Amino acid sequence: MLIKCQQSELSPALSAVCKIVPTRTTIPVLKGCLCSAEKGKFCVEVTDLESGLKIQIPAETEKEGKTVVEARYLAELIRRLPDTEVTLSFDEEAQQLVISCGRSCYRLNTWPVEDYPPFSLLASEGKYKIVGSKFKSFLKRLLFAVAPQDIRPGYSGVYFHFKGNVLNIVATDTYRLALLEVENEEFLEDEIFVPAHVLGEINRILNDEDVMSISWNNGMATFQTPYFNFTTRLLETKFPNYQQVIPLTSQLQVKVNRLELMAALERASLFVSSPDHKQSSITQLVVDEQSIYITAVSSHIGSLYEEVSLLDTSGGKCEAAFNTRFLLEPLRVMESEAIVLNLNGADGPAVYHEEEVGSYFHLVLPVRPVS
Amino acid sequence: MERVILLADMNSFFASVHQAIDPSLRGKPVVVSGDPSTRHGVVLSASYEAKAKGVKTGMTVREARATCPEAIFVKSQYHLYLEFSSRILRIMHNFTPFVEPFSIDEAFLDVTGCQKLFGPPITIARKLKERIRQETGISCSVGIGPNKLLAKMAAGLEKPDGLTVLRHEDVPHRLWPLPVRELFGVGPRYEYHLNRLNIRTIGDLANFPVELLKRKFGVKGEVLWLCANGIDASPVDPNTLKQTKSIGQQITLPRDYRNGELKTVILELADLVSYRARLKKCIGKTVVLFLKDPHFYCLCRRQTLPEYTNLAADISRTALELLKRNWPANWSVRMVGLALANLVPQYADQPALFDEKEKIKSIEKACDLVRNKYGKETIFRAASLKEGCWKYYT
Repeated sequence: MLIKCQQSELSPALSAVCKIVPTRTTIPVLKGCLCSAEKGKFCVEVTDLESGLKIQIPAETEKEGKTVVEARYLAELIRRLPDTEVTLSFDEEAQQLVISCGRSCYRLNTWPVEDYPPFSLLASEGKYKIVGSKFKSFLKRLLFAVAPQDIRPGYSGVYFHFKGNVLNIVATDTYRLALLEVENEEFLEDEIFVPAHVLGEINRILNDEDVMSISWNNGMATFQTPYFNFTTRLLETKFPNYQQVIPLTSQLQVKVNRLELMAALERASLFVSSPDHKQSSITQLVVDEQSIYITAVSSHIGSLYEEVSLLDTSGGKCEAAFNTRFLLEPLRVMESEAIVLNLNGADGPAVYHEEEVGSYFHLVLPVRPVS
Repeated sequence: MERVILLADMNSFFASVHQAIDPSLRGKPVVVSGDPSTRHGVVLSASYEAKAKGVKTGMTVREARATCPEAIFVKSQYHLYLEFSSRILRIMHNFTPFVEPFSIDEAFLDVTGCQKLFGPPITIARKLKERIRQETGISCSVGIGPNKLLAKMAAGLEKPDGLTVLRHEDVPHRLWPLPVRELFGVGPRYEYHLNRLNIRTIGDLANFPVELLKRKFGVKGEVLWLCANGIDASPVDPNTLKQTKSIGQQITLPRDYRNGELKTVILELADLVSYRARLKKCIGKTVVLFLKDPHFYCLCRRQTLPEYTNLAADISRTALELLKRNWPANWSVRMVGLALANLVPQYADQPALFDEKEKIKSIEKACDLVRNKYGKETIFRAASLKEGCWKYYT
């Protein structure tokens, strides 16, 4: 193996694969990355046996070949090099990867290629294709609503539901639910439940202009672009019937300026952020014909009262208490100037949706004060 | 101005309560114990008449009977002691608002600011003792000192019915000759480690280089050294009991149980603990399991949960995991304890869209309503109908 490539291209690729490399493992070779020199390109591949990522960058290949080196050291070393041409070659006699850059030379020990577990990549015929920037804008609206893996592993993913001409993308941590409705031009009928951490990594490495094709089969899915190929095991838990929790009617529908409401809630979140209040990050909303009245009280800090005037209302009054963070987070990712808020009393869910886009819903369950 | 702190310590509290409500027991050796048939047969408290005959707290009932055959044995009645304790605290509150309950039969009082009302400290202490005796029939020892530590040490110097003043200048001649074990905060472990440093008396500790103690015992080493010198700046905090840190329940089993049988006991304890947490409107994040085997080997393991809870389902599941991980299945158990720690107040309950927990929450809530109305033991799991469950040991 002998290749030449640019540090500026090699370094991001290696940092990206390092995110997949398991930090603690009983199989030492999993700490490695499989480097291979192919015609005109250099590929680096890692797996944690749950998912596998392969990234390819353009390179001047003088001799093809493969080797496995410890990913973290290779990535850290390359990251610290200046932005110039880097040469990677394999010293067969010493069984070491030789990295040379300018007048310096580094040698890294390797593992035999045969020891590296193969992680099967699915056939690349994509079932669904999407432009990078669009996919990233979807993820932005969904990922924050996913449950952390250690708390509710069964909900730590994003659910893609293809049905008729719509694709519903859903994320929930059971306290709130984000739903994005997009067009399903291929008229697929299927469902996949993708681990959120995989989507998080894709969100980081996906180029805006690349077209990504997604294919899935037998509990595995592959996300492929010219730059990377990301294969992962899908979540096996059954996603709940999300459609039954979305209220069809609402007690009160109001329209407000998104930024105004967001700013008020940002201030409210300050009043509920003291450490002893971890559990009581509650903001009280009272809505009448004119305004939303926001109150937040902390015995240690003080209290807050805000009024946000309504742009439009269906008429009527409503009162409910919410976890401030759950009210605030969707406002941060929405884009339209005015948003619609549907309220269903102190026990029913509140639903945000964006005025112009119309396809993004965010449902939040109110909290019940402990009397 | 120098602080004036009082510590009032009820003498033989449980036994005194029984003597107070039953005049026929007065002046007689009274021993309060658990029920020997369920292996709770340990002396919890002995009246001074019984103590004079050699009965000590912690003895088994059999030993106590052998030491003092004429003793009158009384079964413990916890609600009585709580009632007397709160009556006594109410009397203390007539003297100062700064009353810190330290245990069921002890409390600190900060009377620095009340001397214009009630006179000098000794007069206050006499008045307090007199009122407690008149209104509840219980005698107490009072220690007076410039801080909590010296007040506590003073109260221990003269028992029963004592009244002792310990000033800073008294420390060398009154405290220093005492064995180091007598110092507040020194238990058998510290006694052992201090003895190894040839520290035998409180005076030895007070004159030991503090740097060496710090290096050996960390912060606690310095605290002990300060205590030995009579220095303590901690305030009398009337709210200590208001912030609950953990809620626990433990039981000595009527016979040795094996792992399989323990499951029901843990479920029962989890029900009690979670019920108490909900009554206090608390949620906790850490589950603590405590086990003791027939040879008094103890094991305490804790597990912190990802989310706060006060549901019996969460507590028992975590406790059973701890049991499975840390206790061999064929190993007998004499005592089980279960606690929910890392508590914070629960202000609100966040319902979930899809969780089965909603169901469990409403079941446990419904059980609470039954318990509140008809008593703690009126509702229980079907598993508790089996032999060896709470019906058989309470």
